[in-house]
Amino acid sequence: MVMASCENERKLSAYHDGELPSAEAAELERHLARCDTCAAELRKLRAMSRLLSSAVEVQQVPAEAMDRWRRSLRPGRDRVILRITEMLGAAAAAILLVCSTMLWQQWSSAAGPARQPAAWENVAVRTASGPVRTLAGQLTGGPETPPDVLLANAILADSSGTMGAQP
Amino acid sequence: MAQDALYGDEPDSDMELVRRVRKGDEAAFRRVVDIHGPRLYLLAMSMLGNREDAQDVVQETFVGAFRGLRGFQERSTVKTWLTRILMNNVADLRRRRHLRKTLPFDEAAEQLGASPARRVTETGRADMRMDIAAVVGRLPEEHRTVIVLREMQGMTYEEIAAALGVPRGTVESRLFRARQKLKEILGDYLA
Repeated sequence: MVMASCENERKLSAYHDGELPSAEAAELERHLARCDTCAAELRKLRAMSRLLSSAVEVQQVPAEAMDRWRRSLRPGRDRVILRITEMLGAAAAAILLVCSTMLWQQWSSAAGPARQPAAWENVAVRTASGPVRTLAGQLTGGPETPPDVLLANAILADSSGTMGAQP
Repeated sequence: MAQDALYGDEPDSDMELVRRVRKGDEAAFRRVVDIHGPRLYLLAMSMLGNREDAQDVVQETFVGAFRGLRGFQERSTVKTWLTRILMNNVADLRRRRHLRKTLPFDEAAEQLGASPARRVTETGRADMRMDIAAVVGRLPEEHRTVIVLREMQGMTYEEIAAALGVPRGTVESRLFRARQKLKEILGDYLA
């Protein structure tokens, strides 16, 4: 009997590697006992493996390379260095985070909408040059209001407005 | 496995060695190098075809493995873990240098004007071994890798799959196709 399908050849390859499930391996072994073609294929696979294994012997590692690899690390010393490096890295990351936050805050306050001056600030500017006649005084011809009184009234009005806005 | 005997690989003691390396044991690190260095070098040579590059990549693998020791969860074997790091380092080196995936000795074999199979039968034993390296070098990289890991390093399909980050079925089909190609190249020599 000839077993020529690719699926069976693939099975032979896995069987040769000892990677075929046991039930399939048993079935294949029964087949191999009566199929010269498949038995010959298996012999080729084994010959190929012997040939490839022999190539391993050629690749001797140069002694100086082995020495270099052995000396490439000193786990005790390098562990300390690695830990210091990690700590420095963490510190640098923390500093970067703080700086970024500060820069972002500065940028957002600079880029945000301009704050409206409070009423008392306007009054302070208006009264800086001396007594001012209020609108009511202008209409009635009444006396000028002293700047400190105007300023106190404005502050009271502002603070009562703020308190009223609180929940 | 014959290859395991050759390289003195013992998975249980491997884990123990790695635990000792974690604690800063230098002798344990040297032992890991002795056990895995030769097979990693063979793999690097088969991938790069150049001694200096292969040696550098193996060194980077050990250094990288140590630095990543905390990340090693012991879910895979040390052999698989190191192989995976090596494969990544080979890929990095290629990217840095824009290296081709074919090997220099592939060109050399072709320039000699004879098929590797003929040269195998006509030359002495040492040359024959070199020609086997040339034959393997003629395979596409994904086939060459599985052949080296399976045939020369005795890794199981599961180990190869874990080292390459591909499904087990992919390993099986790549091996099958690689062997088909090798049979064509080696021809009557296998009869």
